[in-house]
Amino acid sequence: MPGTWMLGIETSCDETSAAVVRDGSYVASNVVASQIAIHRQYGGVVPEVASRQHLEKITYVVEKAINDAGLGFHDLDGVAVTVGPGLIGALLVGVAAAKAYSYALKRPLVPIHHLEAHLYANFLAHPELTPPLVCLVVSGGHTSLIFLKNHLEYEILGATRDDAAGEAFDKIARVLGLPYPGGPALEELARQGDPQAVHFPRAWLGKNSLEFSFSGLKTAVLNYLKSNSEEENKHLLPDVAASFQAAVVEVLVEKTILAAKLGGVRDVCLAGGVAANSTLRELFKQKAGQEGLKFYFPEKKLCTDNAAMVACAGYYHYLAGDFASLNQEACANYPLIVSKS
Amino acid sequence: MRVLGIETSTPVVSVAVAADSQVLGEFSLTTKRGHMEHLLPLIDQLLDGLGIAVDDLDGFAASVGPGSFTSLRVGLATCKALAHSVNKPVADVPTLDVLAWELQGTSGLICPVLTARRNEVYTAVYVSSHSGIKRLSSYLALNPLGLAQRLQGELRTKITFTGEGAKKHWTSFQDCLEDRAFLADPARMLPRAGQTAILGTEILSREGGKEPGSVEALYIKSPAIRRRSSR
Repeated sequence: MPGTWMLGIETSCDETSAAVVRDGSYVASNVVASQIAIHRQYGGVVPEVASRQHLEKITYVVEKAINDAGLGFHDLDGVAVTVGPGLIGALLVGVAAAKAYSYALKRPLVPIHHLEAHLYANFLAHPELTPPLVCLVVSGGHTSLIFLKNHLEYEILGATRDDAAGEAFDKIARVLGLPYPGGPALEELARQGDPQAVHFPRAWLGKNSLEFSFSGLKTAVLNYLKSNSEEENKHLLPDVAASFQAAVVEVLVEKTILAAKLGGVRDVCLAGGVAANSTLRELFKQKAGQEGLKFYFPEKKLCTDNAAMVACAGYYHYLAGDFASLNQEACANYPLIVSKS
Repeated sequence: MRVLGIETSTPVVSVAVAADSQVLGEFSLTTKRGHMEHLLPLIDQLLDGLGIAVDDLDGFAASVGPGSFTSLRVGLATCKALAHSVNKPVADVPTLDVLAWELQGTSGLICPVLTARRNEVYTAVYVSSHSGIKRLSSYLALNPLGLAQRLQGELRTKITFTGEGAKKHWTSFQDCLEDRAFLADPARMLPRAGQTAILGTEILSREGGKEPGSVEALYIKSPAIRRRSSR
Protein backbone atom coordinates (compact mmCIF):
# COMPACT_ATOMS: atom_id res chain seq x y z
CA MET A 1 0.00 0.00 0.00
CA PRO A 2 1.60 3.31 -1.03
CA GLY A 3 1.60 6.10 1.52
CA THR A 4 2.10 6.11 5.28
CA TRP A 5 -0.66 4.36 7.19
CA MET A 6 -1.07 5.15 10.87
CA LEU A 7 -3.26 3.30 13.33
CA GLY A 8 -4.55 5.75 15.96
CA ILE A 9 -5.86 4.74 19.38
CA GLU A 10 -7.70 7.06 21.77
CA THR A 11 -9.04 6.16 25.25
CA SER A 12 -8.38 9.30 27.29
CA CYS A 13 -11.93 9.76 28.57
CA ASP A 14 -15.20 8.04 27.66
CA GLU A 15 -14.82 7.14 23.98
CA THR A 16 -12.97 4.01 22.90
CA SER A 17 -11.69 4.82 19.44
CA ALA A 18 -9.39 3.44 16.76
CA ALA A 19 -8.76 4.83 13.29
CA VAL A 20 -6.57 4.38 10.24
CA VAL A 21 -5.30 7.50 8.47
CA ARG A 22 -3.06 7.71 5.39
CA ASP A 23 -0.43 10.46 5.17
CA GLY A 24 -2.08 12.48 7.93
CA SER A 25 -4.88 13.51 5.61
CA TYR A 26 -7.07 10.66 4.35
CA VAL A 27 -9.33 9.06 7.00
CA ALA A 28 -9.66 5.43 5.89
CA SER A 29 -11.64 4.54 9.03
CA ASN A 30 -12.60 6.18 12.32
CA VAL A 31 -14.38 3.88 14.76
CA VAL A 32 -15.77 5.34 17.99
CA ALA A 33 -17.45 3.20 20.66
CA SER A 34 -19.24 5.83 22.71
CA GLN A 35 -20.02 5.29 26.38
CA ILE A 36 -22.41 8.25 26.62
CA ALA A 37 -25.48 6.09 27.25
CA ILE A 38 -23.69 4.26 30.08
CA HIS A 39 -22.41 7.38 31.85
CA ARG A 40 -25.70 9.26 31.40
CA GLN A 41 -27.29 7.21 34.18
CA TYR A 42 -24.64 8.52 36.60
CA GLY A 43 -24.86 12.14 35.41
CA GLY A 44 -21.24 12.19 34.27
CA VAL A 45 -18.21 10.10 33.43
CA VAL A 46 -17.40 7.51 36.12
CA PRO A 47 -13.67 6.75 35.67
CA GLU A 48 -13.80 3.09 36.76
CA VAL A 49 -16.79 2.40 34.50
CA ALA A 50 -14.98 4.11 31.61
CA SER A 51 -11.83 2.02 32.17
CA ARG A 52 -13.81 -1.23 32.19
CA GLN A 53 -15.57 -0.27 28.98
CA HIS A 54 -12.28 0.56 27.26
CA LEU A 55 -10.87 -2.88 28.11
CA GLU A 56 -13.99 -4.59 26.77
CA LYS A 57 -14.04 -2.63 23.51
CA ILE A 58 -10.40 -2.01 22.65
CA THR A 59 -9.66 -4.94 20.32
CA TYR A 60 -13.07 -4.66 18.65
CA VAL A 61 -12.58 -1.03 17.67
CA VAL A 62 -9.07 -1.80 16.36
CA GLU A 63 -10.42 -4.80 14.41
CA LYS A 64 -13.17 -2.69 12.86
CA ALA A 65 -10.81 0.19 12.06
CA ILE A 66 -8.47 -2.16 10.17
CA ASN A 67 -11.36 -3.89 8.37
CA ASP A 68 -13.15 -0.65 7.48
CA ALA A 69 -9.89 0.63 6.00
CA GLY A 70 -9.63 -2.57 3.93
CA LEU A 71 -6.19 -3.31 5.34
CA GLY A 72 -4.37 -6.03 7.21
CA PHE A 73 -2.24 -5.37 10.29
CA HIS A 74 0.94 -5.57 8.25
CA ASP A 75 -0.08 -2.71 5.97
CA LEU A 76 0.30 -0.34 8.93
CA ASP A 77 3.42 1.80 9.28
CA GLY A 78 3.01 2.92 12.88
CA VAL A 79 0.78 3.05 15.92
CA ALA A 80 -0.12 6.43 17.47
CA VAL A 81 -1.78 6.64 20.87
CA THR A 82 -2.98 9.33 23.24
CA VAL A 83 -0.74 9.03 26.29
CA GLY A 84 -2.26 12.01 28.14
CA PRO A 85 -3.64 14.15 29.57
CA GLY A 86 -6.83 12.38 30.60
CA LEU A 87 -8.25 9.88 33.08
CA ILE A 88 -5.29 7.72 34.04
CA GLY A 89 -7.22 4.44 34.27
CA ALA A 90 -8.76 5.09 30.87
CA LEU A 91 -5.48 6.12 29.22
CA LEU A 92 -3.72 3.00 30.53
CA VAL A 93 -5.91 0.67 28.48
CA GLY A 94 -5.22 2.45 25.19
CA VAL A 95 -1.51 2.87 25.88
CA ALA A 96 -1.01 -0.76 26.97
CA ALA A 97 -2.85 -2.00 23.89
CA ALA A 98 -1.03 0.37 21.52
CA LYS A 99 2.33 -0.71 22.92
CA ALA A 100 1.40 -4.37 22.41
CA TYR A 101 0.23 -3.80 18.81
CA SER A 102 3.36 -1.82 18.05
CA TYR A 103 5.58 -4.51 19.58
CA ALA A 104 3.89 -7.51 17.99
CA LEU A 105 3.66 -5.86 14.57
CA LYS A 106 7.18 -4.41 14.81
CA ARG A 107 5.98 -0.91 13.98
CA PRO A 108 7.02 2.28 15.81
CA LEU A 109 4.90 3.56 18.69
CA VAL A 110 4.14 7.28 18.50
CA PRO A 111 2.97 8.97 21.73
CA ILE A 112 0.47 11.80 21.26
CA HIS A 113 -0.78 14.62 23.48
CA HIS A 114 -4.57 14.88 23.60
CA LEU A 115 -4.58 18.62 22.81
CA GLU A 116 -2.32 18.31 19.79
CA ALA A 117 -4.59 15.56 18.49
CA HIS A 118 -7.56 17.92 18.72
CA LEU A 119 -5.57 20.65 16.98
CA TYR A 120 -4.51 18.27 14.20
CA ALA A 121 -8.14 17.39 13.46
CA ASN A 122 -8.04 20.63 11.48
CA PHE A 123 -5.37 19.22 9.15
CA LEU A 124 -7.61 16.22 8.47
CA ALA A 125 -10.50 18.50 7.63
CA HIS A 126 -8.39 20.96 5.62
CA PRO A 127 -5.32 19.32 4.05
CA GLU A 128 -4.43 22.66 2.44
CA LEU A 129 -3.95 24.27 5.87
CA THR A 130 -0.37 25.11 6.90
CA PRO A 131 1.24 26.65 9.97
CA PRO A 132 1.60 29.27 11.35
CA LEU A 133 -1.85 29.41 12.88
CA VAL A 134 -3.69 30.01 16.11
CA CYS A 135 -5.99 27.30 17.44
CA LEU A 136 -8.51 27.44 20.26
CA VAL A 137 -8.85 23.97 21.79
CA VAL A 138 -12.00 23.97 23.82
CA SER A 139 -13.47 20.89 25.48
CA GLY A 140 -14.66 19.46 28.79
CA GLY A 141 -11.11 19.37 30.09
CA HIS A 142 -9.36 22.20 28.25
CA THR A 143 -9.65 25.79 27.11
CA SER A 144 -6.31 26.67 25.54
CA LEU A 145 -5.10 29.06 22.88
CA ILE A 146 -2.24 27.44 21.03
CA PHE A 147 0.10 29.05 18.54
CA LEU A 148 1.38 26.51 16.04
CA LYS A 149 4.55 28.05 14.63
CA ASN A 150 5.55 25.08 12.50
CA HIS A 151 4.30 21.51 12.57
CA LEU A 152 4.70 20.12 16.13
CA GLU A 153 6.03 23.46 17.45
CA TYR A 154 3.58 24.72 20.03
CA GLU A 155 3.33 27.79 22.17
CA ILE A 156 0.52 28.07 24.71
CA LEU A 157 -0.72 31.65 24.49
CA GLY A 158 -3.34 31.33 27.18
CA ALA A 159 -5.46 28.82 29.05
CA THR A 160 -8.21 28.78 31.60
CA ARG A 161 -7.44 29.72 35.19
CA ASP A 162 -10.28 27.60 36.56
CA ASP A 163 -13.01 25.66 34.73
CA ALA A 164 -12.70 24.58 31.12
CA ALA A 165 -15.47 26.02 28.92
CA GLY A 166 -16.96 22.56 28.37
CA GLU A 167 -16.88 21.93 32.10
CA ALA A 168 -18.84 25.17 32.64
CA PHE A 169 -21.38 24.00 30.04
CA ASP A 170 -21.73 20.63 31.79
CA LYS A 171 -22.09 22.18 35.25
CA ILE A 172 -24.69 24.73 34.20
CA ALA A 173 -26.53 22.07 32.19
CA ARG A 174 -26.77 19.96 35.34
CA VAL A 175 -28.13 22.93 37.32
CA LEU A 176 -30.71 23.48 34.59
CA GLY A 177 -31.74 19.84 34.96
CA LEU A 178 -30.45 18.75 31.55
CA PRO A 179 -29.18 15.22 30.85
CA TYR A 180 -25.52 14.27 30.39
CA PRO A 181 -23.67 15.24 28.23
CA GLY A 182 -24.67 18.76 29.14
CA GLY A 183 -23.08 20.72 26.29
CA PRO A 184 -25.27 19.56 23.40
CA ALA A 185 -28.40 19.56 25.61
CA LEU A 186 -27.71 23.14 26.72
CA GLU A 187 -27.15 24.24 23.13
CA GLU A 188 -30.49 22.69 22.19
CA LEU A 189 -32.33 24.48 25.02
CA ALA A 190 -30.59 27.77 24.16
CA ARG A 191 -32.11 27.68 20.67
CA GLN A 192 -35.49 28.50 22.21
CA GLY A 193 -34.11 31.35 24.35
CA ASP A 194 -33.00 34.96 23.93
CA PRO A 195 -29.21 35.35 24.29
CA GLN A 196 -29.69 38.97 25.37
CA ALA A 197 -32.32 38.26 28.04
CA VAL A 198 -29.83 38.24 30.91
CA HIS A 199 -26.45 39.95 30.81
CA PHE A 200 -24.05 37.59 32.49
CA PRO A 201 -20.48 38.82 33.16
CA ARG A 202 -17.64 38.20 30.69
CA ALA A 203 -14.23 37.62 32.26
CA TRP A 204 -11.81 39.61 30.09
CA LEU A 205 -9.07 39.53 32.75
CA GLY A 206 -7.50 42.78 31.52
CA LYS A 207 -6.67 44.26 28.13
CA ASN A 208 -4.80 41.88 25.81
CA SER A 209 -5.12 38.96 28.26
CA LEU A 210 -5.37 35.61 26.51
CA GLU A 211 -6.37 33.73 29.64
CA PHE A 212 -9.86 32.53 30.44
CA SER A 213 -12.01 32.19 33.55
CA PHE A 214 -15.49 30.72 33.74
CA SER A 215 -16.03 30.22 37.47
CA GLY A 216 -17.38 33.76 37.99
CA LEU A 217 -19.87 33.24 35.18
CA LYS A 218 -20.96 29.97 36.71
CA THR A 219 -21.60 31.67 40.06
CA ALA A 220 -23.50 34.50 38.35
CA VAL A 221 -25.83 31.99 36.68
CA LEU A 222 -26.39 30.15 39.98
CA ASN A 223 -27.10 33.43 41.81
CA TYR A 224 -29.48 34.55 39.09
CA LEU A 225 -31.44 31.29 39.34
CA LYS A 226 -31.55 31.60 43.14
CA SER A 227 -32.93 35.15 42.93
CA ASN A 228 -36.05 33.86 41.15
CA SER A 229 -38.80 31.57 42.34
CA GLU A 230 -38.83 28.03 40.98
CA GLU A 231 -42.00 28.86 39.07
CA GLU A 232 -40.33 31.85 37.37
CA ASN A 233 -37.22 29.81 36.56
CA LYS A 234 -39.25 27.19 34.69
CA HIS A 235 -40.09 29.78 32.04
CA LEU A 236 -36.66 31.40 32.11
CA LEU A 237 -34.47 28.33 31.52
CA PRO A 238 -34.14 28.72 27.72
CA ASP A 239 -33.20 32.41 28.19
CA VAL A 240 -30.68 31.54 30.89
CA ALA A 241 -29.15 28.81 28.67
CA ALA A 242 -28.94 31.18 25.68
CA SER A 243 -27.52 34.06 27.74
CA PHE A 244 -24.95 31.82 29.44
CA GLN A 245 -23.88 30.35 26.11
CA ALA A 246 -23.58 33.85 24.60
CA ALA A 247 -21.30 34.92 27.46
CA VAL A 248 -18.98 31.92 26.98
CA VAL A 249 -18.91 32.10 23.21
CA GLU A 250 -18.24 35.84 23.06
CA VAL A 251 -15.15 35.55 25.26
CA LEU A 252 -13.84 32.52 23.36
CA VAL A 253 -14.18 34.22 19.98
CA GLU A 254 -12.84 37.65 21.02
CA LYS A 255 -9.74 36.22 22.68
CA THR A 256 -8.94 33.89 19.80
CA ILE A 257 -9.15 36.76 17.33
CA LEU A 258 -7.03 38.90 19.63
CA ALA A 259 -4.46 36.08 19.76
CA ALA A 260 -4.33 35.93 15.97
CA LYS A 261 -3.88 39.71 15.73
CA LEU A 262 -1.17 39.81 18.39
CA GLY A 263 0.65 36.95 16.72
CA GLY A 264 0.26 38.38 13.22
CA VAL A 265 -1.39 35.16 12.05
CA ARG A 266 -4.05 34.97 9.33
CA ASP A 267 -5.42 31.49 10.01
CA VAL A 268 -7.48 30.65 13.08
CA CYS A 269 -8.78 27.18 13.96
CA LEU A 270 -11.21 25.71 16.40
CA ALA A 271 -10.90 22.25 17.95
CA GLY A 272 -12.20 20.08 20.79
CA GLY A 273 -15.64 18.88 21.83
CA VAL A 274 -17.06 22.38 22.36
CA ALA A 275 -16.02 23.23 18.79
CA ALA A 276 -19.09 21.22 17.78
CA ASN A 277 -21.24 24.04 19.21
CA SER A 278 -23.02 25.78 16.30
CA THR A 279 -23.36 29.15 18.02
CA LEU A 280 -19.60 29.21 18.60
CA ARG A 281 -18.91 28.30 14.97
CA GLU A 282 -21.29 30.92 13.65
CA LEU A 283 -19.91 33.77 15.73
CA PHE A 284 -16.36 32.68 14.84
CA LYS A 285 -17.13 32.68 11.14
CA GLN A 286 -18.70 36.12 11.36
CA LYS A 287 -16.01 37.79 13.49
CA ALA A 288 -13.11 36.20 11.63
CA GLY A 289 -14.64 37.42 8.37
CA GLN A 290 -14.91 40.97 9.72
CA GLU A 291 -11.25 40.88 10.74
CA GLY A 292 -10.06 39.46 7.42
CA LEU A 293 -8.95 36.17 9.02
CA LYS A 294 -9.47 32.71 7.59
CA PHE A 295 -11.41 30.49 9.93
CA TYR A 296 -11.19 26.67 10.00
CA PHE A 297 -12.97 24.02 11.99
CA PRO A 298 -13.33 20.26 11.69
CA GLU A 299 -16.64 18.52 11.13
CA LYS A 300 -18.43 17.57 14.34
CA LYS A 301 -17.32 13.95 14.49
CA LEU A 302 -13.69 15.09 14.30
CA CYS A 303 -14.26 17.62 17.13
CA THR A 304 -15.31 15.14 19.80
CA ASP A 305 -12.75 12.57 20.96
CA ASN A 306 -11.74 10.27 18.12
CA ALA A 307 -8.69 8.34 17.00
CA ALA A 308 -8.42 9.79 13.47
CA MET A 309 -7.06 13.02 14.92
CA VAL A 310 -4.55 10.96 16.95
CA ALA A 311 -3.41 9.14 13.82
CA CYS A 312 -3.11 12.48 11.99
CA ALA A 313 -0.88 14.02 14.68
CA GLY A 314 0.89 10.65 14.76
CA TYR A 315 1.80 10.98 11.09
CA TYR A 316 3.69 14.24 11.66
CA HIS A 317 5.51 12.77 14.68
CA TYR A 318 6.24 9.65 12.65
CA LEU A 319 7.92 11.80 9.98
CA ALA A 320 9.91 13.52 12.74
CA GLY A 321 10.97 10.13 14.16
CA ASP A 322 9.41 10.75 17.57
CA PHE A 323 9.13 7.14 18.67
CA ALA A 324 8.49 5.81 22.16
CA SER A 325 10.26 2.89 23.81
CA LEU A 326 8.71 -0.24 25.29
CA ASN A 327 8.49 1.34 28.74
CA GLN A 328 6.24 4.22 27.59
CA GLU A 329 3.71 5.11 30.29
CA ALA A 330 0.34 6.81 30.30
CA CYS A 331 0.44 10.22 31.96
CA ALA A 332 -2.61 12.01 33.37
CA ASN A 333 -0.73 15.35 33.25
CA TYR A 334 1.32 14.84 30.10
CA PRO A 335 2.86 18.19 29.04
CA LEU A 336 2.28 19.50 25.52
CA ILE A 337 5.64 21.14 25.29
CA VAL A 338 8.52 18.84 26.16
CA SER A 339 11.87 20.57 26.25
CA LYS A 340 14.18 18.73 23.91
CA SER A 341 17.71 18.29 25.14
CA MET B 1 2.23 -25.76 22.33
CA ARG B 2 4.00 -22.54 23.33
CA VAL B 3 2.05 -20.18 25.59
CA LEU B 4 2.93 -16.75 26.99
CA GLY B 5 1.53 -16.19 30.47
CA ILE B 6 0.91 -12.70 31.86
CA GLU B 7 0.14 -11.95 35.49
CA THR B 8 -0.44 -8.38 36.74
CA SER B 9 -3.29 -8.61 39.25
CA THR B 10 -1.13 -7.77 42.27
CA PRO B 11 2.05 -5.69 42.75
CA VAL B 12 3.88 -8.57 41.03
CA VAL B 13 4.44 -8.19 37.29
CA SER B 14 5.17 -11.67 36.03
CA VAL B 15 5.65 -13.11 32.55
CA ALA B 16 6.49 -16.65 31.49
CA VAL B 17 6.58 -18.95 28.52
CA ALA B 18 5.48 -22.56 28.87
CA ALA B 19 5.97 -25.22 26.23
CA ASP B 20 3.47 -28.02 26.74
CA SER B 21 3.63 -28.46 30.49
CA GLN B 22 7.05 -27.07 31.17
CA VAL B 23 7.99 -23.51 32.10
CA LEU B 24 10.80 -22.45 29.75
CA GLY B 25 11.36 -19.08 31.34
CA GLU B 26 9.83 -16.66 33.78
CA PHE B 27 10.48 -13.10 34.96
CA SER B 28 8.81 -11.64 38.02
CA LEU B 29 9.14 -8.22 39.56
CA THR B 30 7.39 -6.60 42.49
CA THR B 31 6.52 -3.01 41.71
CA LYS B 32 3.97 -0.65 43.16
CA ARG B 33 2.88 1.30 40.10
CA GLY B 34 5.35 0.16 37.50
CA HIS B 35 3.23 -2.43 35.70
CA MET B 36 2.95 -0.35 32.53
CA GLU B 37 6.62 0.55 32.54
CA HIS B 38 7.92 -2.98 33.07
CA LEU B 39 5.48 -5.42 31.49
CA LEU B 40 6.38 -5.14 27.82
CA PRO B 41 10.17 -4.83 28.40
CA LEU B 42 9.98 -8.03 30.49
CA ILE B 43 8.06 -9.84 27.74
CA ASP B 44 10.62 -8.61 25.21
CA GLN B 45 13.58 -9.82 27.29
CA LEU B 46 11.93 -13.17 27.94
CA LEU B 47 11.08 -13.88 24.30
CA ASP B 48 14.47 -12.61 23.21
CA GLY B 49 16.22 -14.85 25.72
CA LEU B 50 14.25 -17.86 24.54
CA GLY B 51 14.69 -16.98 20.86
CA ILE B 52 10.94 -16.96 20.33
CA ALA B 53 9.03 -14.37 18.30
CA VAL B 54 5.50 -13.28 19.17
CA ASP B 55 4.30 -15.01 15.99
CA ASP B 56 5.82 -18.30 17.20
CA LEU B 57 3.45 -18.45 20.17
CA ASP B 58 0.41 -20.73 19.90
CA GLY B 59 -1.61 -18.91 22.49
CA PHE B 60 -1.69 -16.63 25.50
CA ALA B 61 -2.69 -17.09 29.12
CA ALA B 62 -3.83 -14.10 31.15
CA SER B 63 -4.46 -13.94 34.86
CA VAL B 64 -7.82 -12.17 34.84
CA GLY B 65 -8.09 -11.34 38.53
CA PRO B 66 -9.51 -10.61 40.94
CA GLY B 67 -6.95 -8.03 41.97
CA SER B 68 -5.98 -4.39 41.56
CA PHE B 69 -8.28 -3.09 38.80
CA THR B 70 -5.68 -0.80 37.28
CA SER B 71 -2.73 -3.15 37.11
CA LEU B 72 -5.01 -5.97 35.97
CA ARG B 73 -6.14 -3.90 33.00
CA VAL B 74 -2.55 -3.14 32.00
CA GLY B 75 -1.90 -6.88 31.73
CA LEU B 76 -5.17 -7.71 30.03
CA ALA B 77 -5.03 -4.87 27.49
CA THR B 78 -1.47 -5.94 26.64
CA CYS B 79 -2.43 -9.61 26.36
CA LYS B 80 -5.53 -8.96 24.28
CA ALA B 81 -3.66 -6.73 21.83
CA LEU B 82 -0.69 -9.13 21.50
CA ALA B 83 -3.04 -12.05 20.83
CA HIS B 84 -5.12 -9.96 18.43
CA SER B 85 -2.00 -8.90 16.49
CA VAL B 86 -0.97 -12.49 15.81
CA ASN B 87 -4.50 -13.92 15.72
CA LYS B 88 -4.06 -16.43 18.54
CA PRO B 89 -6.45 -17.45 21.34
CA VAL B 90 -6.31 -16.41 24.99
CA ALA B 91 -6.97 -18.59 28.02
CA ASP B 92 -8.35 -16.65 30.97
CA VAL B 93 -7.07 -17.93 34.30
CA PRO B 94 -8.41 -16.65 37.64
CA THR B 95 -5.56 -15.32 39.80
CA LEU B 96 -6.84 -17.15 42.89
CA ASP B 97 -6.52 -20.44 40.96
CA VAL B 98 -2.93 -19.55 40.10
CA LEU B 99 -2.12 -19.04 43.79
CA ALA B 100 -3.88 -22.25 44.85
CA TRP B 101 -2.06 -24.34 42.23
CA GLU B 102 1.25 -23.09 43.61
CA LEU B 103 0.37 -25.10 46.74
CA GLN B 104 -0.54 -28.33 45.00
CA GLY B 105 0.08 -31.26 47.33
CA THR B 106 -0.74 -29.31 50.49
CA SER B 107 -3.11 -31.18 52.78
CA GLY B 108 -6.28 -29.61 54.18
CA LEU B 109 -7.83 -26.50 52.70
CA ILE B 110 -5.99 -23.90 50.61
CA CYS B 111 -7.16 -20.32 50.87
CA PRO B 112 -5.55 -17.66 48.63
CA VAL B 113 -6.20 -14.12 49.88
CA LEU B 114 -5.72 -10.93 47.88
CA THR B 115 -6.22 -7.39 49.13
CA ALA B 116 -9.34 -5.63 47.85
CA ARG B 117 -10.45 -2.08 48.53
CA ARG B 118 -12.59 -0.99 51.46
CA ASN B 119 -11.02 -3.45 53.91
CA GLU B 120 -12.10 -6.52 51.98
CA VAL B 121 -10.23 -9.44 50.50
CA TYR B 122 -10.73 -11.55 47.40
CA THR B 123 -10.67 -15.23 48.15
CA ALA B 124 -11.88 -18.73 47.33
CA VAL B 125 -11.42 -22.07 49.07
CA TYR B 126 -9.57 -24.97 47.41
CA VAL B 127 -8.52 -28.50 48.19
CA SER B 128 -5.62 -30.46 46.70
CA SER B 129 -6.15 -34.00 45.45
CA HIS B 130 -4.41 -36.53 43.19
CA SER B 131 -6.22 -35.10 40.19
CA GLY B 132 -5.10 -31.55 40.98
CA ILE B 133 -6.56 -28.54 42.73
CA LYS B 134 -10.32 -28.32 43.15
CA ARG B 135 -12.20 -25.16 44.00
CA LEU B 136 -14.87 -25.62 46.69
CA SER B 137 -16.34 -22.09 46.88
CA SER B 138 -17.24 -19.32 44.46
CA TYR B 139 -14.87 -16.35 44.04
CA LEU B 140 -15.65 -14.03 46.94
CA ALA B 141 -15.05 -10.50 48.18
CA LEU B 142 -15.56 -10.17 51.92
CA ASN B 143 -13.88 -8.77 54.99
CA PRO B 144 -11.01 -10.84 56.45
CA LEU B 145 -12.77 -11.52 59.73
CA GLY B 146 -15.87 -12.76 57.89
CA LEU B 147 -13.63 -15.15 55.96
CA ALA B 148 -12.00 -16.49 59.14
CA GLN B 149 -15.38 -17.02 60.77
CA ARG B 150 -16.66 -18.87 57.73
CA LEU B 151 -13.64 -21.16 57.81
CA GLN B 152 -14.18 -21.91 61.51
CA GLY B 153 -17.14 -24.08 60.53
CA GLU B 154 -15.14 -26.15 58.02
CA LEU B 155 -14.61 -29.80 58.87
CA ARG B 156 -11.10 -30.11 57.54
CA THR B 157 -8.75 -29.06 60.27
CA LYS B 158 -5.81 -27.52 58.46
CA ILE B 159 -6.16 -24.30 56.41
CA THR B 160 -3.20 -22.85 54.50
CA PHE B 161 -3.39 -19.17 53.59
CA THR B 162 -1.47 -17.77 50.65
CA GLY B 163 -1.24 -14.55 48.61
CA GLU B 164 -0.23 -11.03 49.70
CA GLY B 165 -3.48 -10.64 51.69
CA ALA B 166 -2.69 -13.72 53.77
CA LYS B 167 0.37 -12.10 55.29
CA LYS B 168 -1.43 -8.80 55.82
CA HIS B 169 -4.39 -10.34 57.67
CA TRP B 170 -2.48 -13.20 59.28
CA THR B 171 -3.25 -12.12 62.87
CA SER B 172 -7.01 -12.09 62.14
CA PHE B 173 -6.82 -15.61 60.73
CA GLN B 174 -4.64 -16.85 63.58
CA ASP B 175 -6.81 -15.26 66.27
CA CYS B 176 -9.91 -16.89 64.88
CA LEU B 177 -8.57 -20.28 63.72
CA GLU B 178 -5.67 -20.67 66.15
CA ASP B 179 -3.45 -23.67 65.38
CA ARG B 180 -5.58 -24.71 62.40
CA ALA B 181 -4.22 -21.76 60.40
CA PHE B 182 -1.00 -22.09 58.41
CA LEU B 183 0.83 -19.53 56.31
CA ALA B 184 2.20 -20.72 52.96
CA ASP B 185 5.91 -20.89 52.29
CA PRO B 186 6.86 -17.32 51.22
CA ALA B 187 8.55 -18.65 48.07
CA ARG B 188 5.24 -20.14 46.89
CA MET B 189 3.09 -17.16 47.83
CA LEU B 190 3.48 -15.00 44.75
CA PRO B 191 1.20 -15.28 41.74
CA ARG B 192 3.66 -16.38 39.07
CA ALA B 193 3.01 -16.31 35.36
CA GLY B 194 4.64 -19.74 34.95
CA GLN B 195 1.63 -21.20 36.73
CA THR B 196 -0.70 -19.02 34.65
CA ALA B 197 0.93 -20.33 31.48
CA ILE B 198 0.68 -23.98 32.62
CA LEU B 199 -2.98 -23.61 33.58
CA GLY B 200 -3.61 -21.67 30.39
CA THR B 201 -2.02 -24.40 28.27
CA GLU B 202 -4.42 -26.88 29.84
CA ILE B 203 -7.43 -24.66 28.98
CA LEU B 204 -6.17 -24.01 25.45
CA SER B 205 -5.67 -27.69 24.68
CA ARG B 206 -8.98 -28.66 26.29
CA GLU B 207 -11.32 -25.87 25.11
CA GLY B 208 -9.31 -23.86 22.59
CA GLY B 209 -9.38 -20.64 24.65
CA LYS B 210 -11.12 -17.40 23.81
CA GLU B 211 -10.98 -14.96 20.96
CA PRO B 212 -8.92 -12.01 22.38
CA GLY B 213 -11.75 -9.47 22.22
CA SER B 214 -14.01 -11.47 24.48
CA VAL B 215 -11.53 -11.81 27.35
CA GLU B 216 -12.76 -9.89 30.37
CA ALA B 217 -11.42 -9.16 33.83
CA LEU B 218 -12.81 -11.02 36.81
CA TYR B 219 -13.57 -7.95 38.93
CA ILE B 220 -15.98 -9.54 41.46
CA LYS B 221 -16.68 -6.05 42.85
CA SER B 222 -18.80 -3.42 41.09
CA PRO B 223 -17.23 -0.03 40.44
CA ALA B 224 -17.49 2.45 43.31
CA ILE B 225 -19.78 5.21 42.13
CA ARG B 226 -20.35 8.50 43.88
CA ARG B 227 -23.58 10.13 42.83
CA ARG B 228 -23.02 13.66 41.64
CA SER B 229 -24.43 16.61 43.49
CA SER B 230 -26.19 19.25 41.41
CA ARG B 231 -23.09 21.47 41.20
